[in-house]
Amino acid sequence: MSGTFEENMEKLKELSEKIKDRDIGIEEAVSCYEEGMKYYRSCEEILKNAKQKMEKFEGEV
Amino acid sequence: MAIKPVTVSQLNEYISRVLGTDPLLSFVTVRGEIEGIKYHASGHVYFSIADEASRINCFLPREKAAGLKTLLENGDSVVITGGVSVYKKTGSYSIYVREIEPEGAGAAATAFDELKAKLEKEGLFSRAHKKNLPEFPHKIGLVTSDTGAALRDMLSILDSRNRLVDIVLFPVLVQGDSAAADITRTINYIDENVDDIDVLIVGRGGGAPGDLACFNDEALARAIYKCRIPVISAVGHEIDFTIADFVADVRAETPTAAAQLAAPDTAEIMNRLKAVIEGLKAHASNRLMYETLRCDNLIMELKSSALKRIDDAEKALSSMGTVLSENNPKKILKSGYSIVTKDGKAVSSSSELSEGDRVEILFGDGRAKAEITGV
Repeated sequence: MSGTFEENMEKLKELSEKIKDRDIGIEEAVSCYEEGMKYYRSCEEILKNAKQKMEKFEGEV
Repeated sequence: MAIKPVTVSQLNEYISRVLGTDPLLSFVTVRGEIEGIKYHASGHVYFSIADEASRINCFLPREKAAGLKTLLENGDSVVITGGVSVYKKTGSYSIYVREIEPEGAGAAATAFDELKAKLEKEGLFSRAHKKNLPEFPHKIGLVTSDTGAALRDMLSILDSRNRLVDIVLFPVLVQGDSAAADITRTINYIDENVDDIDVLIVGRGGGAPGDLACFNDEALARAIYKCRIPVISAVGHEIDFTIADFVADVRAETPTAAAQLAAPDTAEIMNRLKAVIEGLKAHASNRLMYETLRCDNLIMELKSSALKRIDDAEKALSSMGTVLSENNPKKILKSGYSIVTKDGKAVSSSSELSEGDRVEILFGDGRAKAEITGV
């Protein structure tokens, strides 16, 4: 999974809108969930890195 | 007869002593017209000066007569400076002449005023033409006598104020008939041939008005005016003003003052520099402190902004995650719920169903087929 935080977040938003839609098939809802979780993890990873960097700089200042 | 008679010699001796000790008579300046002039074979000159009503004998000794610029003649108006003395042999008195000038101080003063007016009119004294003195001269030219007090005074001042500046002496006559031409020639020479001198001091020490006369010369004034190097005039004392003073870029009251004007005091410069350096240091240190604070503030702001961004993102992400989890169909099925689908689509209301419909029931781990037997 690559792309910026905002790109990942955008995908995630789309998928969480889609999963709420009762008209989609159950399989599609499941794959929405699975795909959404990938984006979620990716976003989480980016944020974790960002926090670590901040902590690193904190040590330097 | 109450008083004992004295001899003629004694009387003349007494008169001579009285006149000789009178402060006014021993140094008097008197104006008159020459009469009965006689150039004696001995070289002395005898004459009288007179006004409408009175006359007095004069004696001009040979050594003074030799310095005369013009032949004195009967009828000349003159100004004489000298002392009154008694010639005891004949019981007569006369002026022993020390200086004699044609009507005189008057003539010189008129010539001075005329020249001054003429040069002023031509613009030789114009303030706009005056050059500034260099603040830090490398080489100072002294145009003065190599034996005069002026040179000694200037060297002593320069020596105490500034050991860095070079001094070049251009020895000139500063007194007598050829002095003006000598100084003029020297200034012109320097102007045309010397290019590493930053400022010139032209002058001499104090003296009688006649001694300073060479600095009232027209050609000299023009040489000073034309000179591309700034010229400081330094003639005589505070009270003496010459044409050279008017035309020079700067007039110094005395040679000593000229030296002070020409060369900055190195000790004072060092003090000024030190003050500047101290000021710079203080300023730099303050600035550094200020910028450090500003940077610290900026970094704090930056940090809190960044953390807020991350925090906001985390919140947004977390709500997305909640949405995903809440809508995860498998999770719902695992907790005992199942989904009824008809034609592949989830049935969300019993009104969508009627008796006899065939449906599929989705469990967390599989599916089953069923028929609706009643609604």
